[in-house]
Amino acid sequence: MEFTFAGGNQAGLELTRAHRSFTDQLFALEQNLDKKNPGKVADVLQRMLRSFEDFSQHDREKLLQGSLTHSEGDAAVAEWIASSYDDLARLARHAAPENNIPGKAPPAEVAAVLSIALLVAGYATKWRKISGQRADLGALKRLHQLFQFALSAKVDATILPVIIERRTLETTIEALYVRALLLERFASGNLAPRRLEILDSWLISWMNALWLTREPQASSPSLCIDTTNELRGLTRYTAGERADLFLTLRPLQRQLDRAVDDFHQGIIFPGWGIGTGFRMEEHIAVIDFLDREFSLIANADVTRSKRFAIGQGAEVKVFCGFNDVWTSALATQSSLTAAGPQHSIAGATVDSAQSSASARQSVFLDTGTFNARALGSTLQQRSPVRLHDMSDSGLGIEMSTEDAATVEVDDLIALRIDEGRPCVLGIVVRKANLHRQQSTLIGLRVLSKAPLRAILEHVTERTARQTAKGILVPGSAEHGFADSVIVNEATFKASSKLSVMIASSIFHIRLGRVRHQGRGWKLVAIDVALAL
Amino acid sequence: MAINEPMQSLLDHAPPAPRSLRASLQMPVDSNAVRLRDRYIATRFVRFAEPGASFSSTEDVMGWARQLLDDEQPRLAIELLHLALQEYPEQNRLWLFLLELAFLGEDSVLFAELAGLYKERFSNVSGHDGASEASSSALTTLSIIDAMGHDIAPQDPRYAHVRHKGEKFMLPNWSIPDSVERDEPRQKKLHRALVEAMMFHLSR
Repeated sequence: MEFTFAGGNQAGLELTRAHRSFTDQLFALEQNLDKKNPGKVADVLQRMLRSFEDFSQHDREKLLQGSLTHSEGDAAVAEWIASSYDDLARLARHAAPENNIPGKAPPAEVAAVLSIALLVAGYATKWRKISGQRADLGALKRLHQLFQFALSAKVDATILPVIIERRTLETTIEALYVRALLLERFASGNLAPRRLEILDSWLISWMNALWLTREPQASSPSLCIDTTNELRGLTRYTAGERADLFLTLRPLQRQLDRAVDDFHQGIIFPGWGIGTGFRMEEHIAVIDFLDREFSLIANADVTRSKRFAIGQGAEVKVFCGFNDVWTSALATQSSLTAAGPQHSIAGATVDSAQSSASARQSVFLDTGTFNARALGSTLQQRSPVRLHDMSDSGLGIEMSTEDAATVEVDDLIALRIDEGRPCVLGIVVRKANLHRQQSTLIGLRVLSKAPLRAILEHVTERTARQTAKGILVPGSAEHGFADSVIVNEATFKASSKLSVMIASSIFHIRLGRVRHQGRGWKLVAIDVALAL
Repeated sequence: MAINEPMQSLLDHAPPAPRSLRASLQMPVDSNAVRLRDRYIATRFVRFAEPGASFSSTEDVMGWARQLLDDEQPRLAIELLHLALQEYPEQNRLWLFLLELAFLGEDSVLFAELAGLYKERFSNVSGHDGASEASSSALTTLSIIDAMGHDIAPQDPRYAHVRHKGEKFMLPNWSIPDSVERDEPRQKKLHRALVEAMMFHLSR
């Protein structure tokens, strides 16, 4: 599933003279392209794109369908594909502004050039991710500019034929723009290459349902675009947000329903493309991914919709494993505590069940330097870790391959993205080498943006008190049956009732079924046995 | 301005709309399609032992669907119910489970479609005079469905006959299997406390 580059001796793809010759052709084309004639540019680029896709078909299929381990040659070919798409997009893009004067060129010709630029920009985004390269920070700005050109030339809604995977589809500049933006948004570190390929074929199939509006729809949650902000693509819309275009979520959800329905009828959606041959798990992972993303957009409340004032490449602090997360990542957070008499929090002794409510309120007090030594020692041990990319439900971080050697899929990881803010808690869902950067991409699925550190106490007949570490992860459902607690193996095996005090209430909880687990930890459903 | 005003020619090229519920609740006929569907079910519901083989067990399907709802996976729960009904559409309680989910999701279109199909399939039970216990229970169920319909879509003429008594509508709890004991107030109290604690940390 992942691209793990194994070194030069492994048999695989190689960059050949033919690949380089194609790059030379692109270079020659750039020198000779008559940018003042958009019709001709579109025609030439369309043919070039088809020729490139025919030429690279085998490479693309092999890279996506092949074994888990990829050679240095494979990596070089993947990078070459990404850079060729980038080059083609640049050629089309450069022809657009030359003709952005009303009446200078026939609108249909301008539209044709823009459609190629936007279509190929989407491919370039996808293949940068597939080849393990960092996101292109200028991509959003260029997409916005292209769409602004289309708006000013009044060709945004012109229906055009585009050739994708040897199939001719009719679509609009607007739909191609939205598809490219959705790829930028969803192509995050926790989406593996094959899933990204499937996702793109779905987005292409859905293109004609991708309509932008000038106002958000009151009846459905929306994503929004601020075309003047070159760092922002499609983001979840909240009232008061600066934005000039909106994409309603409902049509996307309906398209996902339709795709799922196809699987119920025994049809692999959309029925074409490289992804059709992928294992069922890959398709289902895309359904799950989109379902999570859409649900986060639809049910954004205050606790889940915090955006990070941080960009790609920014340094973040990382804590790995249940103990490190509990002891260090959440150390600056006061603990929700057991109801016993001996637990002291922030200097205030928390009383037993009979103690006053005012003392119990102290569990929300800032603990200040609590466990600061542990925090310091954890951070000193690590090389810088950088944010690779981020979506609502997941994010990618980049760490040195040496540090990443100790990280495994299903490990628990906490990130401090914003200093002074709660850590983000996630599960490692993928791990892939970033070629030629001596670093590794770790993809995380976000569990909580505000996990709660708790000291739990076993409720037993014994007089000796026994405490346990826990991390409480509230679900979004008000009924509370989606709430979970993360505990270590020993606490889970003890399978006794546990107590925890939150503000002025004491709860006895039973550990229910395991919702997820990894090395040394289990995310367990909470069943409340007593609430006082 | 094209934005906001999709042209008719583009609408003509729009992707196909989702199938009607009636169509999507049909089993595929082609043997290859059935095999692919089986593979999908086995992979999609890998957490449950042989889910496809248990689709005839209403209690199992309801229990699993409830678990999925509690794990905040409503789409998966709905899928499970759909797939079970594709094969065994006579499972009355699975229809009711779906109706309650549509009601809770405030999806009046889906609710009406489900209610129509449910009545088509089960309303004949209530057609006898001198009602037996079963037909009386069916009549009650139908009147609850109508009341729910009226609550979710008060303007819908299909529910115009419902007399609103001014009482707060009580959910029938069709989405909770009989075998499951739940104490909602306790669970809600913990949830509220956790959310408050979370808000406290986020606001600092």
